[in-house]
Amino acid sequence: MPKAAATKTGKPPLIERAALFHFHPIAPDDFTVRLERWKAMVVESYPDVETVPEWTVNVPTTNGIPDFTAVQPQLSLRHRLWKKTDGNQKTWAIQCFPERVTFNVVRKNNELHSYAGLRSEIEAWLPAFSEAFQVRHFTSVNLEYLNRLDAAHTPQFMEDSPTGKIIRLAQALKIFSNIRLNKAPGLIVPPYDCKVTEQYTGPVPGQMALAIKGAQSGPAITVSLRFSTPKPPHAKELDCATALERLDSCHALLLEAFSNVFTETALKSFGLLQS
Amino acid sequence: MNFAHPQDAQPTPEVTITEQRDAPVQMGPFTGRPSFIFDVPFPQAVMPLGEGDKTIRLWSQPTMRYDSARATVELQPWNIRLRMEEAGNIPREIARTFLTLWTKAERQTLSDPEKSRWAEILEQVDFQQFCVEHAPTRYVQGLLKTRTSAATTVLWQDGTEENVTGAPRTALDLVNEGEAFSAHVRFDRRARTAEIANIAILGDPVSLQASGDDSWIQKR
Repeated sequence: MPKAAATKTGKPPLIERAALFHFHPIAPDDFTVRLERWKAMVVESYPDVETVPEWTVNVPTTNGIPDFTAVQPQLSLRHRLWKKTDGNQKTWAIQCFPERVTFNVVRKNNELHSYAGLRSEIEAWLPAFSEAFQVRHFTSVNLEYLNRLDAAHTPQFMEDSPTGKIIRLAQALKIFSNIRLNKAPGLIVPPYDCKVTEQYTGPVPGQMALAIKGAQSGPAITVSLRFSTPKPPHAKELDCATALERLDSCHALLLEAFSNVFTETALKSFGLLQS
Repeated sequence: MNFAHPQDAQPTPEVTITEQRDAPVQMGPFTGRPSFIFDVPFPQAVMPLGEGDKTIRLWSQPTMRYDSARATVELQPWNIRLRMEEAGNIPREIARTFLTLWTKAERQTLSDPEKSRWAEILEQVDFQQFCVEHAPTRYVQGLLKTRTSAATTVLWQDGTEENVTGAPRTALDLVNEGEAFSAHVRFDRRARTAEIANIAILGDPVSLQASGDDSWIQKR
């Protein structure tokens, strides 16, 4: 398998890095109070606070018949703190939940932020978060890299077809490169959605998940790679330093997975392999 | 290491931001906006004021009326109506409504409709807790008896002894064991220290006695 060079030297279609740290749930009232203190602590660096309402609607069915009288929508709140950056771009975020915290960096103005940048941001704030929310240990760590194939990020894989612009997936992603349902060659058209998860029991146990998802509009897909370390009862509790070490392992595995998910042609076009 | 445990089979929640923007929840192939009205609990019973040191605590999560046709949520008796996407502002609106009516009640300027609304609101709120949190600090003196990794023990001027823990404990870091101090202290409803400010070190009781100080520490 070809190994990709360090991402900082190439231009992968990476649009977001997200690190997630799970911990034992905080009681809702305590979480509300501690969240306000946390906001006050980080306000100089993360002054832009968003409370995003997320609605879930479940419609129960009996014998295949939906029962709308039993529908009970539920609301949950996502607390997102954005860092102020040059040009007022929303690039760095911390999202807080009663049982997890995430650190996100989003690509803006075609600026690709490195893992080292994300890591140093986490290194700076995770111990403070741990203290503010009275989180003694973390239970698991996830790292997710989101890539996007579309006209803006990967024009080399766009193609005109009788039905409009499409993405030449077979040239970009190995998972699509050997699909031949009939003898006659065909075009792979939307929907492209698929998921696969691999489980590891080696020195860094965990699960690597690949998810490919079509965008709502336009010929575009996101390719998500996520490595998750095991949750209790299979995992040991992690302090901040150990959690960061696990994150480093996740990053190394994601780089390896990236070079195995994209084709050699794609890696070359991203500048990650020599032509 | 295996993942046979059922909880590992549960999907991990979405953590990325970009992907969510691309994937709004789809309700189905409705034509026009379907009209449903539901009563939905708001997922928070504590409404923070300021930096979380003061709160409005409700006895239970308030109920919102969700109107899908108008795309609004409404809370009574708070008289709050917001667009669905603004539901995250409900804690702020509850706090504003409460403080507005509380101020009017203090000044005795509530109108008749406001009086009945205030009465209904008071049934939903732990008003005693609110009053304790909003009580002004009191000037008190104390003697720092011992300090361990778990708590700091203080003998207060009224003769009570307290193990001070949490955030107020760090305010006592400047005081040595055996030293007397004065401070502005706010006590909670169980007469436990909730906040310490304006600490002044009075010194050790022996030197205070020598200097003719007549503070409580010499009279105990």
